Amino acid sequence: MKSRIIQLKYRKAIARKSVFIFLLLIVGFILGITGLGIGPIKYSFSDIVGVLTNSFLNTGSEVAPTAQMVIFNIRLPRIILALLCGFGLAITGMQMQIILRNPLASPFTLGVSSGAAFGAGLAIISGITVIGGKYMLVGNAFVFSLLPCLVVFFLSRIGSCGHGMLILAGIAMNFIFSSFSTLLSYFSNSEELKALSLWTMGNLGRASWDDIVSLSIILLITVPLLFMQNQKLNVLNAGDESAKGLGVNVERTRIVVLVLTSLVSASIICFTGMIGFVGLVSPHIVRLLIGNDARYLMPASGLFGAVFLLGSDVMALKIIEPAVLPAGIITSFTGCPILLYLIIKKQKDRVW
Amino acid sequence: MVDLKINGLSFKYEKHPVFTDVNCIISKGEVVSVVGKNGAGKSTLLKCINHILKPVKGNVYINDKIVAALPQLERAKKIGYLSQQSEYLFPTTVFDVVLTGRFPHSPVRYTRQDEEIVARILADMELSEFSQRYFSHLSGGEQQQVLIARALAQGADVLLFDEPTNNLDLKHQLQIMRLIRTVAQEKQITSIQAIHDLNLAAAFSDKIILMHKGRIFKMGVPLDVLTREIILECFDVHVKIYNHGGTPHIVMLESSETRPVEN
Repeated sequence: MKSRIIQLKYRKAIARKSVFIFLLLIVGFILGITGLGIGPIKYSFSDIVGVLTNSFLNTGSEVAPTAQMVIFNIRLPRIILALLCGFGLAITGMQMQIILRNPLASPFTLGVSSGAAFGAGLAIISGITVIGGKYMLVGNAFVFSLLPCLVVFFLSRIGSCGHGMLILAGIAMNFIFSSFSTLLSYFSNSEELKALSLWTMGNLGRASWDDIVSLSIILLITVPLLFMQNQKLNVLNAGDESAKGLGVNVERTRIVVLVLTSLVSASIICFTGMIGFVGLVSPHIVRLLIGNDARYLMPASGLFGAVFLLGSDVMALKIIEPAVLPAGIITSFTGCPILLYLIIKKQKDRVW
Repeated sequence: MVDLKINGLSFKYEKHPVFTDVNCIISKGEVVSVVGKNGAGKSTLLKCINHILKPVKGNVYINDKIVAALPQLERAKKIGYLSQQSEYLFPTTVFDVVLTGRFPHSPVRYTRQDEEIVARILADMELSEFSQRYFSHLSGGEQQQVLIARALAQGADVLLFDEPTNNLDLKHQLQIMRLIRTVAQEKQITSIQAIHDLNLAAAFSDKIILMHKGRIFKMGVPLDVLTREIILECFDVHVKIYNHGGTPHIVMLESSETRPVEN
């Protein structure tokens, strides 16, 4: 009888988590639709619905060509990119925090972002690019953001792949690529310097439908693979030795998650530049609300990150109208206080 | 019936040998304590038994099957391991902690049956009120109980405890050792624990393995292993032993001989 009650309590906790995830989905959807109306030009709900049905269902409803143009070609890609990036950064942050056993881990811990910044700098300042054409900046950022994690990866093959070692290697990579970037900017002129620092700020405005398609393909492949690791991540949370005792191949799981999360964050950062704090803070906020069961934490953090980034981007459009701020600035501004609050609260609650 | 056999087991860190050529046979349902000085290799021996650390030589057999040759998940179904510190970094409920014990059986997705098993174990161990509380909020003794529950959910035949009574007060030390004893008797689970407290080891073990200088110095029933001479030799401490109905009771003596000579 008692065991029945315990199981019921567990099912109830699971149901609560599922409801939370469902609510986030709804909030994301509503925010996405309303976001289409917000910007230098305001559009009503009926305009938005008209454009959307026109574009996706070919209804041929009456809409102004400018509305069609602004909503479908500028705002919709921007909003979808915000949702995809927020989702991707938050799930990579959440999984990295668990495999590296460090609450401060995020897509930037292993040097992914400083590698990307160096790659972009190389393209802007020296003109050295991996691929040519309109993707030269993105291509450079992508390739160079994977470099630090490759180095960390090979180091981990040599050593025992402990979490402490991975973090130290990541920090070393961060410093190396940051100093390369500084070196580049030392030799740049003011135009190039501005272009680089604008790139670094993190901006969703560069989104095009092509970018979204390529990013979606990467996410469609990697996210299910990452999702399959969640059961193991729950065991890994018990510590390396206990996890080994429970039959988890700790080293292999760590490498699989490391490679996949680096790939996801690299492909996001190369399109958007650096958007801080989404990956770091979203998992923590969600963890405080629904606990650490990775099977639910991952989708919930992802959706929370998506809502957080989209919300920040909408704010970025509203704050000093008609100027459009880079969303990366807003996420840092709002993310920092939340993080500080959590650190103080965590001391009190002994949650971590 | 032989259950666990350790045959010529050796382990080195880099070039520094921790223990060499360890041999022993442990029967099913026995409670065995591994004792010895700090650095004698107690914890390392446990980790080598279930291959968390890879021994450089020798084999461990469970019912004549080589443990090292078993796939990792199969190994986890046979041997459970409880590490020295509970290291749950992020907030995890007691139910979720115990549920991870089912991982070797359901590595992809936990089933309703897994949930039922966990719920039953929590109810049996009178942990039901804790089931939805965070593991990190429990006291040391309660955490240790939850970890034992996890090991039971794992359904292993052999449990390895790395200092299960560490950081516990006297009452909880006794409670945990009694629990280990009960589990061993009722479910015929072999239990091997690395432990510092010789009196606890003596009171709750069928057999004691005393490790010294990288070898098993002496192995046997508590009364045979924990003698005045052996303790002086291995721990460099003078003791007096009282016999409490077959269980040795060890009292440490702070005599002048144990103190270093001061110039």
